[in-house]
Amino acid sequence: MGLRPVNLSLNEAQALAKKAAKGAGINWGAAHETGRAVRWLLEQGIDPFPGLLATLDTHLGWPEAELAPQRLGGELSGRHGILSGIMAGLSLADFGVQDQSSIQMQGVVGAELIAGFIALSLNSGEGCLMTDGVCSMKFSRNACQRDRPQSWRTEITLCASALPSDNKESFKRADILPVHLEKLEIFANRTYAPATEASRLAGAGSALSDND
Amino acid sequence: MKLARMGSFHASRLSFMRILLRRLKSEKWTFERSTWQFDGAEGVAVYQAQGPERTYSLIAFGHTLDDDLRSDRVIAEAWDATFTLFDGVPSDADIKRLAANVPVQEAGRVTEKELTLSRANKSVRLFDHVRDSLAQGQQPNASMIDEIGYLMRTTAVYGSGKFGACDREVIADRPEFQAPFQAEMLTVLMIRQFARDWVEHAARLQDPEHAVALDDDLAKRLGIGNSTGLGMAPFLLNHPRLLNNWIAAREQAIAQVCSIESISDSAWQQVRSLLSQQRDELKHWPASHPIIQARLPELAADLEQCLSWMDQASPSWQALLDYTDQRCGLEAQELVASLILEPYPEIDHLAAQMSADEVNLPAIQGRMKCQIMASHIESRYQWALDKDWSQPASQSHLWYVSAEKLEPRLADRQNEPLENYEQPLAPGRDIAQAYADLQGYLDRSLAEFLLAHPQHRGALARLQWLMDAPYGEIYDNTTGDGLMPIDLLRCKLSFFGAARFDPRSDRWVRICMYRNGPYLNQVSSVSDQWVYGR
Repeated sequence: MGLRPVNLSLNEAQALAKKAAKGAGINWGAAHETGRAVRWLLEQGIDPFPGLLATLDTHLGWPEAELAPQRLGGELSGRHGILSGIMAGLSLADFGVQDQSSIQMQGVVGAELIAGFIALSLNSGEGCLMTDGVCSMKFSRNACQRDRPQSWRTEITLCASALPSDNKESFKRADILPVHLEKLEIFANRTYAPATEASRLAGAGSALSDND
Repeated sequence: MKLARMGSFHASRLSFMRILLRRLKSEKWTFERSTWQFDGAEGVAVYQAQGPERTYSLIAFGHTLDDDLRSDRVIAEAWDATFTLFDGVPSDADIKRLAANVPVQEAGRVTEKELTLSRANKSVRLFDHVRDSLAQGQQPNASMIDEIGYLMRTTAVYGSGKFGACDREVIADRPEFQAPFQAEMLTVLMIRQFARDWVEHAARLQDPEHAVALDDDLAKRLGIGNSTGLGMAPFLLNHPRLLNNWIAAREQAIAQVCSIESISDSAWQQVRSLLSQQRDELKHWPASHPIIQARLPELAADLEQCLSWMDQASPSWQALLDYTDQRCGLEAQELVASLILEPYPEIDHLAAQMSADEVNLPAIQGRMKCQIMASHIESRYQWALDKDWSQPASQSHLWYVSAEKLEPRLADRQNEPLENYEQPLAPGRDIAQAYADLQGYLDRSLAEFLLAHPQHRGALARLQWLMDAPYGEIYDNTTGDGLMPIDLLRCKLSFFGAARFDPRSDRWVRICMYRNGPYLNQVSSVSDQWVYGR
């Protein structure tokens, strides 16, 4: 595998993220939403793959429920002090963040993913600000504004905010580093059944010759 | 919609091939073969389609293929010919790049400049017969052409971002791609031309002095085949909004036509004539498998009854549909429902409603009360709530993806330990399981429920997506012992405009596309009723 980024279509990137999430033990519905959140981040020009991989690595060690917020309200954390960006993002998107003053989270892995899930749940005219005290990201359903190249810390605050400026462009392709692609494919491969001669014939239903 | 009905669908005015050809004709698209570089049997050809604003190019690579490598399966690794539809006019560098990638299909990479990726195998019997006949200065046997129906059959036409190609969303705002699968249908139309050109080329290679061109009337009777297996089956389950829009457009067209109070005699006679033609052509419908062998005699008898009834009844499309509902099988019901649309081009505008933006589906509405979710389930999924999912027969199959070229397959749940790999393709079962757990949360929000029961997220998101999409769900068991996967294949292929459904098993079907259709130099004058040879 080379060093140059591989250029993916967004549909490919979304499908890969979905399968990788399922391969890490996340349920199919959440995996589907993960693919959508990854696509949103890519459209904003954000590389979601390092954060996604870190999150999926964490999921390998725990049942998904233990990496989800144990309750909503107060400071959010997972059962063992680790909060998955996927599980936190899903819950916050489900509950809605617009009518809460601010939300604190601890032990977050994959913080930028949280923005992806919440952005997809926002209505027109709603904005949100996410910060760890150093990095910050202001986003809406269709736009995102960041202050610097970002490496998120684990204590995150989220609150409603004014809308970000419109994006200069919406990105339509995804560049992924070969090392990230390889790792995501390893996760995705966990959703594929090993082939057997029986499944090759009966499973697909065609043992006929096509030389006719 | 039940699977048995979906598995009886027929093409109609709203089929994607018909939609494409109407546009190509009305917008006066022109075509040319700009490149034909074949050294013997192998080479590359380029066909250009020029519309009002853009040009698209089919790049076709012809190969020499050993017979023992010819397979229509996804697991194949070589084909007689491979193709891509290029956005614009390719440079020499583009063709060089594509020559290294398109022939290996899934093992290669294409870019945002490529809209589709496809391959086709020869019908060895017919291709060789046509080549040999033409080389000897003779025309091929017409009966053999009618029996087989195509020189080549595609075994995949990938679009929308697959293997690096352009996402549909990037080109969805172009008028020519407004309706679904138009890039794919354009690809297949041009492949049909390539198949004809290639067999004539092969005949000239064989005997340059005596070879003749294929007669236009015989060529017209050749479509392009397609061989499709389980890979297509999950599509309708995975794209419920799209399925809804396809069926809703067809249902709206049928309702619009049925509301016509004063039916002209010519319209009534046109449909009667088409029914009669369809009855007569049943003998050409390939019936190599018991599944279709069992259906055709009933269809023939039903069409005979319909014709008699039409001779005696006062013209009324609704009465005709009522008659078929009461007296005919599903094949005839669906055929008649498609044919009554034929006299009415005023329904064609519904094609614009058949696409769906599935990228921007709304997020889960977590504040919705579980009571509302449960009520929706009760009103739409009673069949699933009534089923005993603990019975082995209710879940005798499971869908999985094989590591071998990522081929979707179906397993026997009892005998194959593959549950860890099960794909989420049993919406009825999943919604019934979610419903059971919802009972303890009826006065609470969906967000609270999902925090406690995350495994139901997929089923309940689907339920919300389909609350305003009455045709998006398949109200049938997609894992039960009575499952016929080809029902899913046929539904999708009928919307493409396919005909001559020829099941090879319960999960594998061959079809024919563009039979009686125009070659590229005939598109500008194609008849509205080309599909019937009129």
